[in-house]
Amino acid sequence: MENFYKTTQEKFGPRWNKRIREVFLAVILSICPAVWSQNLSTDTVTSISLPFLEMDEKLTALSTYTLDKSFQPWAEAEKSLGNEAEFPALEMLMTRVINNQSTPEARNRACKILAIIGTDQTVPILGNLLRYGLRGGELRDVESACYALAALPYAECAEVLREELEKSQTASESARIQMINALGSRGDRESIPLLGQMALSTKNSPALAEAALRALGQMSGPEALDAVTGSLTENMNSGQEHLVEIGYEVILNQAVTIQRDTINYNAVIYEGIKNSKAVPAAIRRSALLGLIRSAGDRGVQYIRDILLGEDSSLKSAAIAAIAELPCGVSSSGFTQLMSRLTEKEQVLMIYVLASRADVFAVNEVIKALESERKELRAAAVKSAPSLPIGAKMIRSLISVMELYPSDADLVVRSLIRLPEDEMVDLYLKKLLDEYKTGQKGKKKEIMVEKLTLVLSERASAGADAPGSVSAESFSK
Amino acid sequence: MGYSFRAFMKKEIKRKSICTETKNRRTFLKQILLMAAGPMIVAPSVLGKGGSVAPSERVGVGIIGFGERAESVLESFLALPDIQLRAVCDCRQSRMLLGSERINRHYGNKDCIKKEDFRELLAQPGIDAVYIAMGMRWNGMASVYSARAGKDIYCETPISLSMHEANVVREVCKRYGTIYQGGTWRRSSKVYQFVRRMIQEGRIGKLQKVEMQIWSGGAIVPETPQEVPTGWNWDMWLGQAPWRDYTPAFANGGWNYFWDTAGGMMTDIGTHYIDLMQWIAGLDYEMPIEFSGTGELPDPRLFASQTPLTGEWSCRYDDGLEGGMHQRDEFAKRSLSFTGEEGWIRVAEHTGEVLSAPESLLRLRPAAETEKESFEAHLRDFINCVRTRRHPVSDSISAVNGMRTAQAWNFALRLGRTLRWDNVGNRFKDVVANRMMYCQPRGGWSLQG
Repeated sequence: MENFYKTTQEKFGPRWNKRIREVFLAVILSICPAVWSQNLSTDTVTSISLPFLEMDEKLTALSTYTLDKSFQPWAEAEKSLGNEAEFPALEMLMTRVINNQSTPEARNRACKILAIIGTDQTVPILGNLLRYGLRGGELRDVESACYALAALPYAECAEVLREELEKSQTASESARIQMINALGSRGDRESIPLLGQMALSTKNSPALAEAALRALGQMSGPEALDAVTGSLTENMNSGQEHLVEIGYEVILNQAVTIQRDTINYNAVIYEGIKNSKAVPAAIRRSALLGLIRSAGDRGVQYIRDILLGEDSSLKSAAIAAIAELPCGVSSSGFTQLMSRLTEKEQVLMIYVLASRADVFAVNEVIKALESERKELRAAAVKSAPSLPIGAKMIRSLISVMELYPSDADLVVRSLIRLPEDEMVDLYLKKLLDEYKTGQKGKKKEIMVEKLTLVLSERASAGADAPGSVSAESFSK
Repeated sequence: MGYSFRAFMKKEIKRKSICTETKNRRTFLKQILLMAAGPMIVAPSVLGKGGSVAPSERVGVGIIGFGERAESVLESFLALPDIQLRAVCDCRQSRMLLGSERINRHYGNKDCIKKEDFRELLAQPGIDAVYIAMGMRWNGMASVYSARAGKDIYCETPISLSMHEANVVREVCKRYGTIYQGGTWRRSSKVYQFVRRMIQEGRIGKLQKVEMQIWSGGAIVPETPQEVPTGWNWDMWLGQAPWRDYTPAFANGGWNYFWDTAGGMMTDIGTHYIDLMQWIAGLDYEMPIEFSGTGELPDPRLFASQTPLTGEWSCRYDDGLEGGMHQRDEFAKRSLSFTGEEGWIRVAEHTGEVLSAPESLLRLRPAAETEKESFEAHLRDFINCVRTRRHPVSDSISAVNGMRTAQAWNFALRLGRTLRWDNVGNRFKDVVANRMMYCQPRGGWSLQG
């Protein structure tokens, strides 16, 4: 080909028209993929040397880019991203960079641009780069090609990846993982049988099997689910606990996808994972959450079952999930179970009940305010402002301050945070007066001081019109 | 001869066993003494006395990425009595050792676990939550792995490398019930809480415009690749970002100015201000519907980096609220201003000065506090939420929206046109911009499953 250029130049002289040269290059470029695919169809090819095309200045500057050189050629190329009219020329230029004897940096930059603007014409070029990387080239080329092949919206990209993944048994593990990940990102269902085989640790390295499992997690539908489920037993038998855990994690991911189609199917998956003691706690908790979220009002029963059961690893997650139940669900079903919970769980329950804000939640929090257990009492004091406030709640808070001086500051903060309401303020004033006049006896001076502070802070924070409030008190 | 040799061996064996026994006795006695002395020399706080929390009751935290940011906030973590820093991870050995030494010094023991790979940290028992500060190329990926491992997350901004990754963070946190606090600590600052209250209470009328000024960006020149410093796992440091050889300026902060690894000042400080815009306006759960931007990029003949030195961006929310980001001037001139139908509020961040019209609003202004105090309040909020399972003030949804808004602004600048966003479909009304939302991770890293 070099000879051909020389001959042409001799024939047309030094003023050989640049435009003719570009058109000629475009023609050569368009037939290149076909030539390459023909060569690559034979299994004897183990390495490819990229064909040499004559370069114009621009192409040379782009292709020879390394970190220590000027970024200008690439800055110009990236500028074209904003102008769709320039895309065909940009695409051609980028494919030429890939085809050229370019640096890995240049090929990577070209792939990143092609991932954004590439048409289906780009796919064979990327396929060639992938093959080049797999058979003697650098891992970087595989990564660059996969970057674009994962992003472009053409079915041919998945075909290339599948085909090369099947063929490249001897390629490095990192390169194969990169292709698996790209197929996973594409959600390519046709690769399910291949990935299903790769997910088996008896035939593949754990890293490869993990990548295959995670890729399967991106594919919805029963085939992908079967492939992962099938891998569980085999990986369990071969003692690959890590892969079994990932298998469950992936099934959970698939359940989310299936949720959109058939609600019962995903409930079966969630239930199965939730009940399996072999599964790590984080995954079981996630399954429980999925089950509760997909069950609507029936979520109450799932939570109650966990709270009544002996499985302590799920109880905290079940209590936290109460906050996610639909608004109309009463808290009574949970407050009845308080005595069955550990102290820590009771504390969490008080915090969660604050989000329910019904009469049962209010009563439970008031009960906790009367508790002798500091942690539980503190949780109730902190939760009180989130609940509907009545005189009883305020009286209970005041009692905490009276009985437990060490809780006084906490109570003051909660009283300040109580909702802006005239009744609340009037009631607090009434209580203050009672302490002042001696009708209420215990720790009179401290209570007067604290209640005065509460009322002053509430007045400044809740002022309606500018100027009616003391800035001094606000900054105290 | 044979007999004497056997006798010698027997004696030798007996002697050795006596020596060992003596040594064992000594060791035993020493241990007894130490055990007896133990309670006398252990600080009361370790036992949970003096108002502190016993280690077993503390929230176990692991630090993922001990860079400058983590180092600067370490004291705030150590100051909280109800958390215990149990592990530190960094793929740069010197940073990992520095972190663990400082933690051990504080607790007076050698218990801090050191790991180069954060996956090993996540597998340790006793880690309830993680603090992630690994830079934009890593924060999202590490968040996904942490959530899958059942850990709660405090993640520094920018929280993800791509818009797609941000979406995955949000989805995974939801699926695993993760307590997620974005590192937008200004939400816990009294000054911004005051601004928010004033605006939410309608004291300047309907909010019409938010203008944010961040400082000018930097740039780095082309560099010759060098050998990776000893103790630095360069492949791990790069993570999912495209491979490039080690160059010192890039590795030491310059990565912030390359599209492959970050998004310039917009994703650095910009995400913090965008976060304030959406939070103060009460628009945490939606994105602006229109983005545009222009800027001055570094001269590519001189510089290797790509992100803008200066820039002007604007956006519009569905309710008509307009946002403007100005990247210009110096660090000390950073500010935010909120303009409503009946007044305005302006915060000059550097001085902490707040101005408003009507001026009377300022009488409600709380006392100024330091950045450290605001960060500590933000961290406190996170730890409280880990205990109570409530959503923190910077939850994953709001953090993701802030991140995506910053990315969208960068896309508008790079493409040189106005981009429109569809809040229902969660995508741009622009084919090219939609393709820019996704970056396939390198190095075998995967957000999948």
